[in-house]
Amino acid sequence: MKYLALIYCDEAADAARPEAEIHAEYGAYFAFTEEAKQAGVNQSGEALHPSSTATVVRVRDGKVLTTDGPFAETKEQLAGYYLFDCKNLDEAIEWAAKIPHASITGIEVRPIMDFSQSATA
Amino acid sequence: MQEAFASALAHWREVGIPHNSAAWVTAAAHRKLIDAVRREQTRRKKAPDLAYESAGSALPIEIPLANEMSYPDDRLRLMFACCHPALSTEAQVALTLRMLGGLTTAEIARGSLLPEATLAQRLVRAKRKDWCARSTRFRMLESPTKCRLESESRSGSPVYARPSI
Repeated sequence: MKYLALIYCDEAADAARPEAEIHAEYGAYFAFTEEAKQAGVNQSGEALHPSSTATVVRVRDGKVLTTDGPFAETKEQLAGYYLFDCKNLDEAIEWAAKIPHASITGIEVRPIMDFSQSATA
Repeated sequence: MQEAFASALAHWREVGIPHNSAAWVTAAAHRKLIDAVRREQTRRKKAPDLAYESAGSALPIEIPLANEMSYPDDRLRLMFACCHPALSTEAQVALTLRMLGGLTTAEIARGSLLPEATLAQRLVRAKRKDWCARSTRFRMLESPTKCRLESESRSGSPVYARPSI
């Protein structure tokens, strides 16, 4: 079963953290990514550019409108994700807990809808 | 950079205005800039005690660029700034023409067949977005993005090699 683990960070707080800490965090992420991949759980995962680089796309009356910045201004911002393929939610939670930001902010784990199942299954 | 527009006009008189005229001018301006830089570097080698004032005036660096250590060359840093993935193609072209080409807002607007106010707004948005992106230290760990010449007709982004750090 597939789950999306959404990684949130506090960009304002991160700007104040010492460089060594940020580098160490990156190291922790590389290590986690590898561990989850070896276990066959990590399907994909990416880090996102900061929320200030976001572009929101809206179509109204056939016109495409773009605005700069995230969809909503929040205290914590979406920083990246992992796509897990594991047995159930318990396992997804186990892996999410190992993500570095679980210890700093928090990880949102959401089950992914599966449309491949036929009606008779 | 007037040279780029001059050669563009001469060329277009013969073959017609290309689909993406701004990108054409960017490519031409970029090539001329590279040539100018090479000439300047040769000149500097031959006369190291002369003040290097022409580069400063030709490349108005209005965006403060973070993390000097990753990008030892000012021009290279500027190219990365103009190529940021958070910027749309239009924004990249406008920013490149302004920051690397040294063209005025009016000149870029004329070349892009846009009202100057529209172009000015585009530049303001691009600078703001790019500056916000560059002000984070996470950028230093990313590998530099390569912008390819083949896609220049779409993106108008300059070509550069991976810097050796």
